[in-house]
Amino acid sequence: MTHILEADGIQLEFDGRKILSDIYLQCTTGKITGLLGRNGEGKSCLMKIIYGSLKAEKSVRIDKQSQNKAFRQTGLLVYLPQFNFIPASLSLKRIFKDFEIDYTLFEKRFPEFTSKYTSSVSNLSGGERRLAELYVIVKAAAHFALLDEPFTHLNPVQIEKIKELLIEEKASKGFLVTDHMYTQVTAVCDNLYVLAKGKTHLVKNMLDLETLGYAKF
Amino acid sequence: MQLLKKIRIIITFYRNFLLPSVIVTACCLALFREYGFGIFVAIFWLKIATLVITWHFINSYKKKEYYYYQNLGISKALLWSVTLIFDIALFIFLAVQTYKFK
Repeated sequence: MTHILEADGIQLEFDGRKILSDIYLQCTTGKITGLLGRNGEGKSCLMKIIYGSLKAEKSVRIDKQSQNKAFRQTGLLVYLPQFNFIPASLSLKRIFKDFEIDYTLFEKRFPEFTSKYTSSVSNLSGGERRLAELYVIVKAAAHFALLDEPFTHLNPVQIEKIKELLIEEKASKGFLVTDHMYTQVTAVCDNLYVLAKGKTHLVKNMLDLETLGYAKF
Repeated sequence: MQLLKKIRIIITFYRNFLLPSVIVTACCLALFREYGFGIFVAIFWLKIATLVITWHFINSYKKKEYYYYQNLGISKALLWSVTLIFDIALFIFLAVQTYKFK
């Protein structure tokens, strides 16, 4: 079944400075939607607003149903923040149990995690920790996943494997992805938005990235 | 099954402040045992004050971990309401037992 996530009417300002003012964003099952923007443009804030953890004037709809705090409904939306969010004391075994995900498939895809099933997150390297967090969010049972900087801290081989995983998983899920490694984002995304001066711009071709002041070719 | 899972996840959150909470409760009950009912109001507010400090500490230093629970469908409000109600109820129950067996 195809689900549609839409966000618009979002107003956000800090200390009188408008961060977000003219937003329209759509994300659907079967598609990876990219979101690019320079530092401080409000990409992470936008994700938190859609997720429901940051208060703002907004209209977020999933299948035309308004969602004020989407995360409260299990199975609707999951969010990978740009920082580590899993309690360091938890073991991988416990995390995979909580998210109801098969560890053997994870081990198969990332053999570096073989024999780390009972390891606690605090014993993993920074890259391993990020990878485990990313994997559980991508595989979590939800209609949509919001990924804030999913490729950061990963090595090139892991990035390629994650891109493969995203393409596999999009069959049953919609993804909204933002990362400054924009070539990785553009390589997997089906739709691309650039957030500039508080507005979202749907990118039609790569030259738009230069026009909108995001990249220089 | 989902309820058991929720309880397990809430217990994980409660473990963040279980040890300081047990220590404060034990100290309060020791004072209660020593000085009797006249001190109950004071130790009750001491317990509440330490829980407020705990709440502030977790919101300052462990706020990033809320996303773990939220991604599992458990809001901050649910985490705090269940753990605080349990902690205060346990404190009152133990205070009553201490008074009974004094």
